Amino acid sequence: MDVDSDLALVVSGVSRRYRDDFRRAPQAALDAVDLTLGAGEAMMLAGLNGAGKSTFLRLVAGIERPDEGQITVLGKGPRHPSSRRRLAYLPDGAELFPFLDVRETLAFFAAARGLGRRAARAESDRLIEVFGMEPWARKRTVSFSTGMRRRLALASALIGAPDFLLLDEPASGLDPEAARLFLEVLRQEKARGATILMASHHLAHVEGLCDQIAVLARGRLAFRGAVQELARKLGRYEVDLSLPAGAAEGVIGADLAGSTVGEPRLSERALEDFLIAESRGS
Amino acid sequence: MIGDLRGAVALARVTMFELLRRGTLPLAFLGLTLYVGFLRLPVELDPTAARARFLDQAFSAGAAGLVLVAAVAGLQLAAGRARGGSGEDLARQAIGESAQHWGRALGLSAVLVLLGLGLGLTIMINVGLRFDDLVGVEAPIRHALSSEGFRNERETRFARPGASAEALVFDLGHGDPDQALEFRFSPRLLLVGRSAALRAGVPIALEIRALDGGYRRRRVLELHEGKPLRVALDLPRAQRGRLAITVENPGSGWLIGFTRGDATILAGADSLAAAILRAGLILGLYAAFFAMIAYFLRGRVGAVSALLLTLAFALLSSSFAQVEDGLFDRLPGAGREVAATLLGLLLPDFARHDVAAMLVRGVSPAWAQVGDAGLRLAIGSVLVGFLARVRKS
Repeated sequence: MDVDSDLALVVSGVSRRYRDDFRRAPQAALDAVDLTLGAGEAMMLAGLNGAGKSTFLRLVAGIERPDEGQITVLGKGPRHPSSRRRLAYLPDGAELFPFLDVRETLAFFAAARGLGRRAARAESDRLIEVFGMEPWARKRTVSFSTGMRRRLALASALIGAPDFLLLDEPASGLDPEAARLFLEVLRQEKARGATILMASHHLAHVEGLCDQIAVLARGRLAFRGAVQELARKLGRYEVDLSLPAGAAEGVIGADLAGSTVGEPRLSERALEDFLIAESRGS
Repeated sequence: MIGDLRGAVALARVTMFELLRRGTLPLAFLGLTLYVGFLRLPVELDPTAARARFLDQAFSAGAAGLVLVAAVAGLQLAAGRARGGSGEDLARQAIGESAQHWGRALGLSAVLVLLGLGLGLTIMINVGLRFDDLVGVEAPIRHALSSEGFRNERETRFARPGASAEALVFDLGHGDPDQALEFRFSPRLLLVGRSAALRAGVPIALEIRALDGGYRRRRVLELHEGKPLRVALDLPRAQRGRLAITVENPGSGWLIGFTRGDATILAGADSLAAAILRAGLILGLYAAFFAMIAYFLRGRVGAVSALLLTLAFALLSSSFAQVEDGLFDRLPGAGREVAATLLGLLLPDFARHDVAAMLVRGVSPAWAQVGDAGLRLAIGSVLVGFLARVRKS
């Protein structure tokens, strides 16, 4: 069996440069990045603003072409029709088609993914229910809040049960309830067997979803491995601590009898420090 | 490939919704409608002429306004594409860049054809209400859109009395069996000076032959300066292929000549609905063509340049006849035909509509110009669109 058949994504030596001013030399957004992701795995793509996360996702989605290197998605190039149909991309930002309503937006993406009319209708109904959008189903998105637009955008990406999800900070700007809903929906997608590559700054947005992490800094891959592996490398964990009633004050050094301690996990602050340090090249 | 086609059609539908709901186009359409509604012309002296003038002006204003609207809509859409954003990016990922490119273009065209139809309907209703004659608008339509018939393209002149003019050949297709054919003939009398003869009329002879059949008729008519002759042709439908009309000057002593467009074969009047559909479709198709130019040029050049180029294109195409007369007459025979055909395909000319008739025999002459406009839109926009894609990649 071909080793690569278990890989949903193979990126080798990919570089992308932008020229924001024709008088200046092109700036590298990505520089010789290598990355693989197994089928059915979920990976967090972490990095500060400008690290190259969105560019990387756009290249994998086939929206842009790399200047150098090769990308294989589900066994084909990202622009191959068979890859496109099995891949869903949720860009950063929430502006879809402002003058369409929810049903019309979902109908478009269903048609784009080759669903028939009846299947499209059933899929739209399912996603409208999953994301709690029934009251807004016939409203144009121009009047929607950011949270509602993000719900519709994720629903649009999920239509047709794609095999590979590329998500660019899907939970940014969401209230806690919506963020939890997103996480739950994405966990279900992973359980279904979908591969997920998700750009985010926050570990809380990928908790229980991504067991792999890739860190981009200044267009280069600074780390790639299991989340626990990064935690071990950084040596900083955090835990949830549930204290008995009335024991919240003066907890340091106090007797923790009667308290429960959760599983240790990579500290959010440690990840932030790592991202900042890598972006400064220190 | 089929999936991409389906995606392009779906995006075309989305584009139509977006453009129509955005408000810019409906507002522009409202402006044109109001303009047509308030178009004041004297009607008391000669209602028929006033009606014809009204239609001329309304359609001219409609065409100009729609071209402007088309250019702005094309630029808007192209600006959205260039700006990107979630909708554009999601669509690009889902259906592919090529399908996105053509889907947007298709939607833009469809919207403008719809607007053209709407404008045609508005004008017809205005005419009906203003002149209290909904049924009678058919004749003015035919008059206002004189390009509806097939016209002679060459200038011909009798060198001396007693000579025959070169035969004029018209390709009619087989047409609608219910349509009467009519021949309008308005050659110019040259060396005008004998007013008595003018008042009495000058005899000329017409020989009409069907090149595909055995039909042959000879008619002698009296011609009066400034008064076009209308002659009904009793031509059987089966023989309505290529028709040759030879004009003879039977020796009156007058020199007779006619320039391009003086001889016209008109299809008979058809229903009001068909006339509305036709006029609107033609307006919409030409507007869509200019929208395509603006849409495809934007991104290659700046917005203002794209707008100016589109308007220059519109101006150039409306004066295509003059360009052709001046340019092609200097070319040798075959080269002239090839150049004229190529330019004719690319530049929509509001007065020429023979391409579709040449390609699709059996289309009635009146509908041929709709086909012609559609053909030019398809060929022209696909060509420009491909150039834009090639340059981009």
